[in-house]
Amino acid sequence: MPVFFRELKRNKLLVIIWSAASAGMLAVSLLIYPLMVSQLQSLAEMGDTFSAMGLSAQSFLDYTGYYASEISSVIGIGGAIFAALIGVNALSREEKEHTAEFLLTHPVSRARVVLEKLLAVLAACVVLNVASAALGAASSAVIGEKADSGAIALTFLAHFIMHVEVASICFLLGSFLSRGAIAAGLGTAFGAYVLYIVANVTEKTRFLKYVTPFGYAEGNYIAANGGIHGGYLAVGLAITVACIVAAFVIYQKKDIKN
Amino acid sequence: MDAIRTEGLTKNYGRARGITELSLAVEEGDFFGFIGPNGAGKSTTIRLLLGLISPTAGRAEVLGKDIVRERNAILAEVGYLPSEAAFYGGMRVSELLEYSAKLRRKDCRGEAARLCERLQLDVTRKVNELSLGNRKKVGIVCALQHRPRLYILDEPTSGLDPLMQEAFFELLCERSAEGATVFLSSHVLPEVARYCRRAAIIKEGRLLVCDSVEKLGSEGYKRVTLRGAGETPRLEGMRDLRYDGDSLTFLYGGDAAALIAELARVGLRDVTITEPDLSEVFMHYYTKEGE
Repeated sequence: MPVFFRELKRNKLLVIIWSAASAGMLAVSLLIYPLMVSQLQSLAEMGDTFSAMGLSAQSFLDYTGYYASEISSVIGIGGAIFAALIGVNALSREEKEHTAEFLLTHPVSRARVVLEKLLAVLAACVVLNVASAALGAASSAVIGEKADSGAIALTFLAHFIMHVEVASICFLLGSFLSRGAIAAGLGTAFGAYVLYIVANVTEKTRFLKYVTPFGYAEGNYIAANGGIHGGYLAVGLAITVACIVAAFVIYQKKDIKN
Repeated sequence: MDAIRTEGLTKNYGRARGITELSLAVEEGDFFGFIGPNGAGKSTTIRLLLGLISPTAGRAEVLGKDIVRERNAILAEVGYLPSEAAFYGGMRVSELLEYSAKLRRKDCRGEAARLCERLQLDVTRKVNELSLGNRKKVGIVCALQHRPRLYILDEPTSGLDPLMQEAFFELLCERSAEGATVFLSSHVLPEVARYCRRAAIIKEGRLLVCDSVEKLGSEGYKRVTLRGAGETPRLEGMRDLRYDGDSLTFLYGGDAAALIAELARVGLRDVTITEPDLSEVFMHYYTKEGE
């Protein structure tokens, strides 16, 4: 798996910095929970002021709801940007940095290159989520609060799947873009988040949650219902698989630029 | 068996020219020169042979294997040196050579060490800190360390100092003597003339001629230089006419008797008739008169 390990090395710094920042921010937001309990009560009384961002009044009233909401706030959009960068760079960077010619004149099939790079992207998403989950658990222990572990685990799982979906869309973009790939990737992450905010504004726009990966990674929903929204998740998984398959097909046939 | 065989190989890049109906055969064991100026289609041909780009039409085989369907099997037996090698920034030379060997699933440490010693390449340096010449040496070791059957070299000596060029060709000659095929794309004609047995000239994406370097050098043409000629000879088959003081020189590819008769008619003080060198043949094909 030389390409996989090479990718891990190449992404090392970005993964370490982003994972530490995400996990650290989550830890801080959990550690201040005891100081915020009284203020959270008054926030809850403000009703659904923050509903567009996926936060409900109820989520401020118990630790599980607060924890799940913080996961969405901290590693939701932050993790999506990270996944977009890692995903879009995986294939496009070889052409942008003119190393594709070096790599693809070795006896490694393009399918193998795509597979190993995809696994490295998945590994990066795993590291970010596991580091955040580990530090989240440690922070809960420090403040002596106990959350519903099943709901929190599902929230992390939903975020991992969401990161993989964003990364897959960007991985596909990177399979045919070299210049402007990073902008396209970041645009995808931000665009998906904007769609999610719009989806939360009215009932009429709620269907957009089927399109945006943030739809099924709503910590507040998962904490309240004890599960991920099946419909949103099914569409998200279908988009993920379609993007990965398309990336394989496109990269097999594409002409490698000089 | 042919190491390389292309039949009507064509690559279109939309408006930009690629190559058109290129049919070429390079025998296994040959030291073959592929000549043409920048933009003639040399690199496009090489990129097609290596499967980096797909042909628009035609077909090609490398070492008896189809370039589209058997790309991996071909690459396992090919050593490729690009004209401008780009490597992963931050990697040390030793790491890069090891990565290349791992991608080939071969242990090339012994051969890599020998090559680095001969080319005086410091493997502890980071590749992005190397000079152009040293980066070229890294490319050479990557192309040679797995001892392939076919070497595809695109402008291999650009950036190398004369001593290193000599060392590099010495290595290639050794590999050639062991039976390997060398496909050398270049616009440095003296190195093609010196080392290659056969050569092809490509112009604007089309193959102009393919023959032994010796035959290409003569090609039925002679370089005729006259001194003190009473007037300019008028002959069919005259090309590349140039004046220099009281002497004039031209390439002549017509009947020898007609040449002698015309020289006798115009009158002259001195005449020399020589074989043109490869550069002159190349220039002949690249001048409008040569078309």
